Amino acid sequence: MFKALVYKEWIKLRLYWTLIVVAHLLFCVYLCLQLRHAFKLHDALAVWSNWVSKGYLFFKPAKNIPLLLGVVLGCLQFFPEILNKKLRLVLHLPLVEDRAVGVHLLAGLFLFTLALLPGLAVLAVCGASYFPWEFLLNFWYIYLPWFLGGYAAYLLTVFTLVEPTWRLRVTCLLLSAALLKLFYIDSFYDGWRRLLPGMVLLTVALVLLPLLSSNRFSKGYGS
Amino acid sequence: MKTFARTLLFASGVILLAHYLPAGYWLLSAKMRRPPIVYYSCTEKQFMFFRYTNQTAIRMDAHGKVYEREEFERILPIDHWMQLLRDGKLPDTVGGVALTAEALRRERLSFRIKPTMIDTPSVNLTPLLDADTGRVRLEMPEDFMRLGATIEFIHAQTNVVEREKSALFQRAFAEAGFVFPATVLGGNPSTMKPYDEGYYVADATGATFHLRQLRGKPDIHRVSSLASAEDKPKWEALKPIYFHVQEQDTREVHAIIVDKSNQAWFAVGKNYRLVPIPLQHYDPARMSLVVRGDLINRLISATGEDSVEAVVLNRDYGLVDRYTEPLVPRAATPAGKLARAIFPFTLRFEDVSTGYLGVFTEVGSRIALLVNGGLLVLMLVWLGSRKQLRLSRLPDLLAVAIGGIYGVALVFLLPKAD
Repeated sequence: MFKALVYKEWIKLRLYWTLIVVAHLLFCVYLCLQLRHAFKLHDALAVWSNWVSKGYLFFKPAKNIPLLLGVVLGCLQFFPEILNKKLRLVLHLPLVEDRAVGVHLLAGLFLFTLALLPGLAVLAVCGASYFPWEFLLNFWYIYLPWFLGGYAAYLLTVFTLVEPTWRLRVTCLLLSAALLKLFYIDSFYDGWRRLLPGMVLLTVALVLLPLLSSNRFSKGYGS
Repeated sequence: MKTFARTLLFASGVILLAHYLPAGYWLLSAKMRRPPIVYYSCTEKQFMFFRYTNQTAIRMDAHGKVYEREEFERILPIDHWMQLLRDGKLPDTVGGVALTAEALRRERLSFRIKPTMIDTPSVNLTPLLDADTGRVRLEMPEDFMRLGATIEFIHAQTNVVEREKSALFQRAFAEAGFVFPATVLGGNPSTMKPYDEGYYVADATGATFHLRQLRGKPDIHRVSSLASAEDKPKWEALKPIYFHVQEQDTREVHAIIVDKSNQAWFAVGKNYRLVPIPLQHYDPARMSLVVRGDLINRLISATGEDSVEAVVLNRDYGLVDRYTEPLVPRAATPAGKLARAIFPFTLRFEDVSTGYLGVFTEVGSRIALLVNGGLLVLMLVWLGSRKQLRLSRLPDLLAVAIGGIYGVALVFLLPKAD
């Protein structure tokens, strides 16, 4: 059953997912070319100084990509399930309800991670070729909150979409927007360090919210 | 699972409301609050102030006498010497000291240390300028220094560690008795300055070292070994947390140092004299320290949310006068009192005390606590009357007990328990 559900999700998302991976990869390559351009136009000392003292980060335009991807993937995966209440079929499978939704979420989170990783690898390799290892640490500290924000965006999108009543859907939307804004507070270097463990825990805990919505959905609220 | 999920929903809701509602409140009700700018008149021998009241600037002395701009500038000739010179009103001497444009410009000191400069994220790479290249102007080196468990230099163009230079400096550090890793580093990596002071570094034992690069060679000394016999024990006992280096034309002040006991020090003169700044209430985590020096005095002021303290030192760093004024903190203003009564607590993720993100809380007043209690009782009565007083409503009750009005809002906004 587990394999069948994952395969169903793969069939549903594979085309969009492939397009997303390619688009993200191309965008990351473009950012690398911009960095190369910066090193061609200015001497390395100036680019390093801009990074060390002014916080210039060539990958900063990629800041909102995880957020966008989380929302898009959540919509692509669950919108078809919500239309005509197809999700009820899944919830009536001979599988514990939470587990059935959990498999969908796992598949989504896995695809989200896989979609971003190739592009991130390109950014990391490119950064490491121009900057010392401190830059990779910088990359990790700056990008991780955005990445967690992407997971949170996916989970909160599902939470909002699966919620069966419009009144609560609006509440979920407001709550999600307010929460996601926190993942994207601007900070320099390892400014997030003290807050990261809490954000990781929060993101993990957010898995519970789509399960709450699906529980309400299966009980037929709003219909 | 459902109770866990609802608890999480209420917890995140309380956190978000405790962050956004007070932020919205202050967006609407904040008023301009600026601490006074403190001056010291070398002619009147008293503190003078530039205050902002109801968005109007007022110049006054410590007795409350208000001055017109021209009179204020006349009493503070050194602070306004350019204007007075333009108007032909600059006195020739003050207290026997000749006021010439060149001397006034040269002897000017200006430092500002903010809490975010002390506790801030930074990249452990910095250029070590050559203080003696033989050139007229300072030049940026082609490499960056990495000072941590060892000292290394990385060539920016090739992104490769310079083994030879790194080993040369490593040996110099060892010869100077430096114990790795370096714990505090302070310098001013800029070419827009009259000379290069280099860096001050604290080693693993807390001892302070002065590092420079002279014609490509390391120049590192334990500062206590350069100081006079009188100052040597002070340097040995010093446990710095921050070095502020800012080269000025006078070349008098090497650095301002803040130590673990929140004491600020000047390191001055050829013998690295260590002079304590005699402020009594300076808290580097909450207050800005401003140093303004001139031909006659050094005025040091520490300004925080609830007080401003200033001391005046003479050119030999002896105490001349001091001034302390309590300020009304935001929480004590009418808007602040109302906020503390409405909001049981406030959460922020950024703060003026640090460059790091974190969770910064402000607790409400007793009234907010009473409101919480009252709301909890009302909630219990309401649930009781509807026969819904059961374990599944525990998240609702906790949210109201802890979050007060935040909790009440969430009880009505979020999904109900079955």
